[in-house]
Amino acid sequence: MTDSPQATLQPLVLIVDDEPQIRRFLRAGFEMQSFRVVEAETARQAIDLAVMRTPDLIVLDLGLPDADGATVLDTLRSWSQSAIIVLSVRNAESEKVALLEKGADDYIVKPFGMAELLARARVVLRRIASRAAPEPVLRIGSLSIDLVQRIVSRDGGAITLSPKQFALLRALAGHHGKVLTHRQLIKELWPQNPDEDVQYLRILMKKLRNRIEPDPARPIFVVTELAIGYRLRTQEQLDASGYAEVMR
Amino acid sequence: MNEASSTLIYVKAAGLVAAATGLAAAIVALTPLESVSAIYMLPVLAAAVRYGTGPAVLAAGLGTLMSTLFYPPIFSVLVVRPPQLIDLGISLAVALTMGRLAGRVRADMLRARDDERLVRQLYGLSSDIAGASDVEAIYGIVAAHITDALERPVALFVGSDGRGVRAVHSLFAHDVTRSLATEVETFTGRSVEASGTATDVVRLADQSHWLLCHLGDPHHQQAALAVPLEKNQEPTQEITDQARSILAEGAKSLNRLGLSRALEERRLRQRTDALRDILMESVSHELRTPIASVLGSASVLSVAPQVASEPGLLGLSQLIASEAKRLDLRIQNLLDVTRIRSGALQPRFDSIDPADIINAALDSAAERLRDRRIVRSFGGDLPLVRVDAVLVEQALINILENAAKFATAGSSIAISASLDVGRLAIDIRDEGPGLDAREAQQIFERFYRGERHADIAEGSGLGLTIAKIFIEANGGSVSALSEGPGRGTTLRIVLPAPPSAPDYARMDDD
Repeated sequence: MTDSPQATLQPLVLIVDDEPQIRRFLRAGFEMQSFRVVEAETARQAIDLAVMRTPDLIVLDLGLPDADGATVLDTLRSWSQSAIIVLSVRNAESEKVALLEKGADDYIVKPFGMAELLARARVVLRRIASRAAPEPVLRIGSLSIDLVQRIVSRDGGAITLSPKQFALLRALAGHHGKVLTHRQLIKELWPQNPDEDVQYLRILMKKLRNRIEPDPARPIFVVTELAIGYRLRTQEQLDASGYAEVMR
Repeated sequence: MNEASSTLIYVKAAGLVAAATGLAAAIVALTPLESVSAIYMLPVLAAAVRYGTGPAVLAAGLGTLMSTLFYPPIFSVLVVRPPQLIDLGISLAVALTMGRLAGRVRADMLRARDDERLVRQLYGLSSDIAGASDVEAIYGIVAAHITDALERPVALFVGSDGRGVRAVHSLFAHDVTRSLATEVETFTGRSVEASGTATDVVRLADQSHWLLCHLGDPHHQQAALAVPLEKNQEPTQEITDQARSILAEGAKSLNRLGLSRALEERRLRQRTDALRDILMESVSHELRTPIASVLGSASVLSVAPQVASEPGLLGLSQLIASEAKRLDLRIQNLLDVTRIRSGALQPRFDSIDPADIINAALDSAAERLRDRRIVRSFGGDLPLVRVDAVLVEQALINILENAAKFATAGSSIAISASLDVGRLAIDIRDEGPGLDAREAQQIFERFYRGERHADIAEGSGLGLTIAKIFIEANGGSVSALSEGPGRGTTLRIVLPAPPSAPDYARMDDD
């Protein structure tokens, strides 16, 4: 994070979890990366600290003893600008979807490794930092997306997209690195028909991938989060995925 | 036998005599006959065997009468002479003897047929009971059987440990069932004290009469049947006796079939299942939090500069993390089994690109597939399928892990997907030790682990069982194919695919 121009002060992370062991390793992991850390073990404490300290990032566990995750998230989102990453469990896809649509920036499934969480933290923090001045051109591996001039190219070769396909790519690029739920994408693409079937989104995605992905059967730029939505990877996420772009 | 048919058999007996007369006349016309009485024995015999004693006696009388036609003066009736009286006597003796013999044979035959039907019914009932999964199901089967046997609806009540009785099966109105329950409660309470009174007749407020009867041994099973008798009239002794005997017979049969034992076993099994599920759930949750801390802490160590610069230490911390992850997956399997058993498995169907599911599964299993060569052969042109993506992904992960377990490092695992008349087939082929025919059948069984590979195959033996159940919950199937030991294994998942291509035209987005 030291390369950030605004890093006069290290980012502050609020860890909300009722398990002391979990808080302990999260603190160690974040501090090692020069984050400043505050901890809360109940929803009450979490909200108090969020008000007083205005953290840059909140890592929120859903199994708190005094309130359910959705309520805490609602309360936080009604006034807090902090990035929020939710700690979730497997087999709770509909819960994850609900939390993302309520304004969580990302989620991570327990158990997880620190590197994975730090990678997500960096993505959401960078996005918040760049909210004021969005990048006009995104580069992910060999893919480049010029949102202003509406030009998409791979390895310098221009790719022709239909307006709908470009709209889908733009929606994902607007939340670069973040997972967007099916419902969120449908609302953006078919605003007059927000109850459109997910199937149409899937077909549109297939077409987009056929144009931009080197191997559409094995997408590396726009990846699927099963039962949740899609994510346009950042360069960092692409590198972390271990995919070497061999198909040139 | 009803009246019409009883008249009919006498007519038929007379017809037989007429036929014998015709025969006798024909013979007499051709050749002189000493005595026709032998010919008149035929209708007597036939009537006795087919229709019983009464028609046979008629045939004997008529025969004797007709035989007088053939004594000189020929064709003049009613000239009774001593030989005719002797003929009549013999005919009657034959008629009575044969009639009784034939009657006995016929009765035996009917009884055998009844017995056979009863045995077949009981056999069906016993196999139904054996197949029933819980106590309620057994009572339902028994009630249906008795309804069939009595040809009238019944209500079945079960006592629940001193908390009164409740209806487990009733085709009657609510209020009737409720007042019956009260009667049954008194009845069962009474007959436990004075064992022996197995039935009782009660009258409800609406003047209907009911026969109450114990089902099974009253000391073990607090279960009773209520059978409606004819409405608005005092039941006759005959009807109640009949119903009683059927019910007593039924109760005896049920005891013979081990109803009590079956009920006891199911009850015990249900309780054990519930207990195990609670235990499994709480143990799993208790274990998962520490595992999350172990994995998280080890992962922090792995990125700490002091450890990351020491290959030996780094390897150890990575080992801790990967072992913790493996342990977590084991627990996940146990949780999945609990979820399946408790009936909480409710697929959420959604249309999805199968390639997305396969890629997600490969990503999730990436760590355990590290030393295997993954060969993908599927294109970006697969049709969307309607499945629960998360369940199918988990099934695929389990199958991939199983393949990785048996295939040696450096060998390849091939994944292909193809469309085949309305079905999508996903094949996962490894170069492992393969299967013989018996193993191909057994590998989906719970806790099955290949005997030939007990040394290399660590694991709970649940993975493929879960995979199969998850795929089947999506309307698909899984099968294991192998050309034999040493020749690799292919696990094939077949999922239903939409019969027609999706509406691409509508999607044209320009």
